[in-house]
Amino acid sequence: MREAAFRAYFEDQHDSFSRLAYLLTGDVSVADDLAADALTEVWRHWDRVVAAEHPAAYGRGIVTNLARQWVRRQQRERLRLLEPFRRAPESDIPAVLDVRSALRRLPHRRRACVVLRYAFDLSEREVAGILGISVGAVKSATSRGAKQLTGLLGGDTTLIDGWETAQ
Amino acid sequence: MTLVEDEVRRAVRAEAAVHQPDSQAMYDRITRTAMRSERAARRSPAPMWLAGAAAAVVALLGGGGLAQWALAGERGPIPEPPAPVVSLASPLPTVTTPGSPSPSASKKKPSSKPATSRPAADTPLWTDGSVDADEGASQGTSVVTVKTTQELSELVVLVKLTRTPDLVSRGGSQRVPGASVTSTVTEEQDALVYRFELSSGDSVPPGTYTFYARYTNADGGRDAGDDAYGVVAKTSSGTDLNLTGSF
Repeated sequence: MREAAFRAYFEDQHDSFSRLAYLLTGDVSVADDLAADALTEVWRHWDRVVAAEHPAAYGRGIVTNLARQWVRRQQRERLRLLEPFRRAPESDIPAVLDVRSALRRLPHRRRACVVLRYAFDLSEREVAGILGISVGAVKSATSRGAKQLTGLLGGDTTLIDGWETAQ
Repeated sequence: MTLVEDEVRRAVRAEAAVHQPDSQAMYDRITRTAMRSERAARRSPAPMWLAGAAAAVVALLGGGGLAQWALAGERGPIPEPPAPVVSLASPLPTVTTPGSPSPSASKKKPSSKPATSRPAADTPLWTDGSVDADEGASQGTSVVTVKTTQELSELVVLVKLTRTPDLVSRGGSQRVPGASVTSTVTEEQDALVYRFELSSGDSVPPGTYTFYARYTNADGGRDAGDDAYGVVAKTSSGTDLNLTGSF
């Protein structure tokens, strides 16, 4: 039955969808909402979801899109609010960021690739399917994203004890 | 690059663990959103699980205030104001082919509707609506039978009798041994609505229970084709259940 099947899908995926939304937005307060909205979309397009080769990937793709839209809205809003006080954009970046803040600094594609590849252990091919880009693009965005992230985390050259040494 | 990968993997996983998703809140939001969008876009196919649940109670029992009242109950606080109790696992009262693309939860009466809610393996509740009246009689009783395999901590049974000539209530009664159930009858413009409700704090053990909506009507019998019933229940383990049906 459709509702039972959806319920099972919900049970299987809601936790991982919400964590994905969190990593992509860096905001715990919206992660559940975005993931729930993605699941609502899954429900609406249930026929397509079950027909999809990877139903979970279908949902992850929606989460990723919703998260991206949310981040864009936030950025626009922030720009509008901060316009009068605008400073040089890079001047106030602290030398060491926490993971959440560091992820937020990555461009969307890199962030999505890093998160999907490393937090969710998906293959390059799966990530390509979710983001609708080529495997090559996933490779390069993941590699650049990972490098940028470690840099932001203070591990520019010394990765092992980068957390402590970089100031 | 292995070093970078390990570091990144460790970092993003630790960060992912920071967030603790609230399953119930997500579920409630899905329910609310789907209901809202259903109202907003009447012409688009309604989600089937809503049709099978609270939305069907709303549709069949006349919508608006009544349904809110029915679902929320008159006691205690309303648990989730915009979206009352909805169970994704509720079976549907209307016949739909599994996997059929777009059944609609319209207010229109289905051309063929079984009086019995479809029993499903995943719900502990089974209901049936029947009419007890002699052919051409001037009085009758609409009977709703509720069978549960789990203890229920909440139970509301609504019976809506569409106005027919000289329809007058003779009151409601029920056979729910060992539990306190109140019954009321409300006169709506186009219907009589019988409401049976398990008293707060009381519970109903697994078993079969019967609810009777009694009435008199014009001589010559009464057409029960537009009548409907709805059952809103919660198991003691917290599962919300909604069933609707006809007679």
